[in-house]
Amino acid sequence: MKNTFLAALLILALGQLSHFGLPWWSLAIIAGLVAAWLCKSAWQAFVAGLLGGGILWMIAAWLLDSANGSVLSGKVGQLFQGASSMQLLLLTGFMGGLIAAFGALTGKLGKDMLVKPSRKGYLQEKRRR
Amino acid sequence: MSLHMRFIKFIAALTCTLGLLWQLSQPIPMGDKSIPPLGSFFNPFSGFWTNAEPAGQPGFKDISIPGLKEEVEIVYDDLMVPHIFAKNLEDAARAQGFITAQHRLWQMDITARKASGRLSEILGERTFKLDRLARRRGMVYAAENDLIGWKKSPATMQLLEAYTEGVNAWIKQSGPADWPIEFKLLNYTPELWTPLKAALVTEAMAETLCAWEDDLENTNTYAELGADAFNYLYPEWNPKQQAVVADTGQWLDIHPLLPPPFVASATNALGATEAPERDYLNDGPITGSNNWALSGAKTKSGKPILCNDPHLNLTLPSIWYQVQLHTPEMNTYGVSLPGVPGVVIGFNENIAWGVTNVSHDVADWYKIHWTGADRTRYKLDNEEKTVQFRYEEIKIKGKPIFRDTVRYTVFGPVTYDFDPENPLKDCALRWIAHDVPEQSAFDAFLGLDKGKSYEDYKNAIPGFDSPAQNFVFASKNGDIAIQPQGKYPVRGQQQGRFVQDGGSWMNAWHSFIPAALVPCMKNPSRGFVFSANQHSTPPSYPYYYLGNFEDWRSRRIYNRLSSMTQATVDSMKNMQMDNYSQRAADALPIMLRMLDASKLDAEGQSLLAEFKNWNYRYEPEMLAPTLFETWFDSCYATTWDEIAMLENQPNGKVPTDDLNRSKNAKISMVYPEAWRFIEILETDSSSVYFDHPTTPERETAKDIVQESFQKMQTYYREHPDKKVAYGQAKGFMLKHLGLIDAFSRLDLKIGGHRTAPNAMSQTNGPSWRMIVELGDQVQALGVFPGGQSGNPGSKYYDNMVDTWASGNYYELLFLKSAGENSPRILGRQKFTAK
Repeated sequence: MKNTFLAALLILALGQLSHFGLPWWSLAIIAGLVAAWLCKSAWQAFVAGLLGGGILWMIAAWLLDSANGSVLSGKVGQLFQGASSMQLLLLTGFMGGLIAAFGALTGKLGKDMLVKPSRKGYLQEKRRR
Repeated sequence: MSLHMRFIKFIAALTCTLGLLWQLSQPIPMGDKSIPPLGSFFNPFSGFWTNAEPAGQPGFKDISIPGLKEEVEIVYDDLMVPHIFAKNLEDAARAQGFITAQHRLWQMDITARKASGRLSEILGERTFKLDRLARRRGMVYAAENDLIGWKKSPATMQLLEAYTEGVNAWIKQSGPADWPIEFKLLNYTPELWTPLKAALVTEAMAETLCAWEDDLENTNTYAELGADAFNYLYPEWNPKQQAVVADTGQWLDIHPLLPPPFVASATNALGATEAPERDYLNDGPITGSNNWALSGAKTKSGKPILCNDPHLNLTLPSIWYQVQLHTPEMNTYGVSLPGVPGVVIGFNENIAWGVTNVSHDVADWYKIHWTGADRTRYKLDNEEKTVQFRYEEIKIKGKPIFRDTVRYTVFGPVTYDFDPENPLKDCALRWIAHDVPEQSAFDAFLGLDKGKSYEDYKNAIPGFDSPAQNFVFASKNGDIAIQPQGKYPVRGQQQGRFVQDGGSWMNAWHSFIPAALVPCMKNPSRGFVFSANQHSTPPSYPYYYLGNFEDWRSRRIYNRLSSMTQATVDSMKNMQMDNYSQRAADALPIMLRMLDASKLDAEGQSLLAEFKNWNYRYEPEMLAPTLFETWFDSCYATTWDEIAMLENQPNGKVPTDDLNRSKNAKISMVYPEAWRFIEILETDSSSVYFDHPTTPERETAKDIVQESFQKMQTYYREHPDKKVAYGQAKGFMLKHLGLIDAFSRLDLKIGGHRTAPNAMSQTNGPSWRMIVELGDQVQALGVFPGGQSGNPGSKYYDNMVDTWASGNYYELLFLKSAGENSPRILGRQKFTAK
C-alpha cells in the first residue's frame, strides 16, 4: 500500500517533466520505470499508474482551466458532443491515468520477466492485502 | 511462475500499452473531417489546455530576439494593442512580426495556405477543388511576381525580411504548448514565414477586392437578349450616383487616344460555369467600404475629421490587427494585416488616411484559338505562339500528390481547360494582380506612415497599383483629399465587359492610365470628400472603365455630409452606424403606390401596416425590414422570370422558389442591377419584362407588385418562424476562419444592411470602424469585431465584439513615448538583441 502510494506520487512528480517538452507518451515510460522500481505487483503498478497519471493530468488541466475561467474548455466541449468543462477534465484525467497505468503495468511485468520476483516480497504483499 | 509465463504476460501488457498509445496518437475520422489525436490534444502540458490563457492580469516577460539592432520597448494597453517603440524601422518591423505571430500565427498560416492552394495538405481531399482553382487562377504566380517587383525596393525588402525574421523568431522560440489551438485541432505544425507568404496574403486581398468580372454572364446575356434589350436593361451609369471625384472641368482638354470600341456580337451563348454561387440580386459588391474626410469648415472644432470602415468578410480572428509603430522618423497607429509589416489604415501625429475598394473591373477573359488538340500552340494574329507550362504540385493529405499543368498565354493562365464542360475552358485570364508591380505597395504605406502633409500623401500612393483603393486623406494643417489609386488599363468602350477574342493582339491591354490622369480631388469647396465603392468619376472622365459599383451607400453618405455642419466625432459615429437604406427609400414608396390595398385581406392589411411608419432603417428590433426584403426580392425575381427561364429552366418552367437562384443553370446570365430595376418599375411600368411569358394576360408593374405582396404573405403564413425582427431574421455572425462554430460568434442581434452605410450582410460588414480628428492632439476612435488575440482561449479573442455590435468605440491610445503613463497600460516588455 505504501509502495503504491509512493509510486503514484513519483509518477505524478516525474510526469511533470512533460513541462519541458517531452511528448505525451513519455508518461507511459516514466510510469513504467517507476513501477519497475517500486511496485511489488502488477496490480499495484496498475493502480499506482492510474492514480499518479490520472491525478497529474487532471490537476495540470484543472489549474489551467480554473485560471482561464473555463472559457476555452467551454468552447472545446462543444467540439466533443457538448461535454462540460468538468467532463473534459475527467476525460483528461482518465486518459492520463490510463496511459500511466498501462505503462506502469508493462514496466512492472517487464522487470518481472528479467528479474524473477522474490517469493518473499510476493508473500508479504499477499499478507498485507 | 515460469519465465515463459512471465514473458507472455509482459508481451500482453506491452501490446495493450502500445495499442493504447497508438490509438491515442491517431486522428479519429468523422465523415470528411477528423477528431485530433486524443493523446497530444488532451495532454495538459502541450495540448489544448495550454491555450487556456489566464483570465487575470497578463504578465509580460522581456525576451531576446536575434537580429535586433537595438532594444525595443513594447507597451500593451488594455485592449492588448502593442505600442512598439523602436530606434529604427527594421527593429520595429521585427518586433511587429514577433508580436503578430504570437497573437495570430494560425490566421497567417491559413490565409497564405488558402491563397497558395495548399489547404489540402492539411485538410485532405475536401479542399482539393479550391486549391486547384487557386493555383490555376495564378495566385502563386501573382505572389512570385509581387516579390520580383518588391525586390526593386531595398527599403521594402529590408522591412519585409525583418518582419519575416521576427515572425520566425517567435516560431522558433515556441513549442507545441504555445502554438495556436487550430494547429492542434487540425494536427499539423507551424511552418516558417517567408516574404512569399506575405505576398500571398496581399494576393488574397487582391482576390477578394479586384478579381470581380462578369464577362461570361454579359456575353451570354447579350447573346440571349440582343443588343436593344441588353442596352435597356444594363446601363452602366446610374444618373443618381455621386462619383468619388467630381467633374470640375479638369478633364476638358484631355483627349487620350483610346483603343477602338469593343463590338459585342450576338454569337451563341457560351454556357454556365460552376462558379461559386453568385448573389441572385444584382446589387453591387458585398465587399465594400466607406470612407470620408471633412474639412475644418464642416466640423465643430474646425479641425479635419477622417473616417473609414472597410467592409470585409467578418471572421474570428479578425482580419485586422491593431498596432502602434514608433521610430525616430515616425509615430503611426492603425490596423495591419497579419503577415504583412506596417500599418494599412491609420493615422500619425499629422495625417490620417483610409481606403475603400475602387471596384473597377481589372480581370478579363480572352478566348484562345488553339492550333491543335494538345493545346500547346495558339494563333495570335498571323503568328503561332507556344504556351508556357507552369507545373503545380498539390499535396493532398492521405492521397498521392496531384500534379497539374497550367498553360500560360500572352494574356495569362488558361484556368479552366481541365474541364471540358466549362464555357471558359479555352479562355485565358488577364488579371492586373498577376503583373509585376512597378513599385512596392509597402513603399506607399510606409510613405503614409511617415507622412506629414498632402505632398507626402501624393508622393506615397502612386506606388500602389493593386487592388486599386480610394485613398482618403486628411492632414492637421487642414487639407483633405481622395484619390482612386490603382493601375488601370486604357480600354476601348465596352472593352472588358464581354469575353474577348484572344486571336488578336489588338484586344490586349496595351497601356495604363497615366498617373497624372488618375482621378483625384483636393479640398473641394463642398468641404468633404468620400467614397463608398461607387463610380470613380462621372461619365465625363476621358477614359472608359467598368466595374461592380455601389449605388446606395454613396448617395446616403453624400446627402448626409452635404447637409452636415458642426460635425463632431459623435456625428461621425452616428453616420457609421446609420442603418438607413437608400434602396428601401427609393423602392418602397413606388411599391406602396402601385399596391392596391383594397384587394388585400385582413392578414395582408396587417402586413401592410408594418410599412406605414417605417423610416427605411434596418434596425434589429424592427419587423418592417424583414418583410420589405422579402417583398422586394420577390418583386425582383417575379420581374426577371424570363431571365431565370433562359438561365436555368430548359423546359421553360419558372423556378418554383423565387428567392433562390437555381444551381442547375443552363447558362450563366446577369440580372439587371437593383437601381435599374427600381428605375424601370417607376418609369416604364408597362415594360414587357413585367409580363409573365407563361400567362395569356399582359401583366404590368402593378400586377407584379401585387403578386409579390401575395407571395410574401403566403411565405410568412407558411413560415411563421421567419416572421421575426430583422436582427433575428438575418442571423448575423462572425465565423471562425476554420468554420469551427464553437470559436465563432453566431446569432448577433444587430442591424444594418449592405445598402445602408452600416453595411452589414450576414457574414460581411464593417471590419474596422475608425474616426480620427486631427486637432492639436489627435483624437482617434476605433473598434473591430473581434480582439487582438487569435486564441479562442484568450479573453482578448472577442472582447471588442459587443462594443462593436452596440455601435460603441474605443478611444485609441496614441502614445508619444514608451515612458508615457496611462491608466490603460497593462504592462511593458523589452525585446533585446541576443
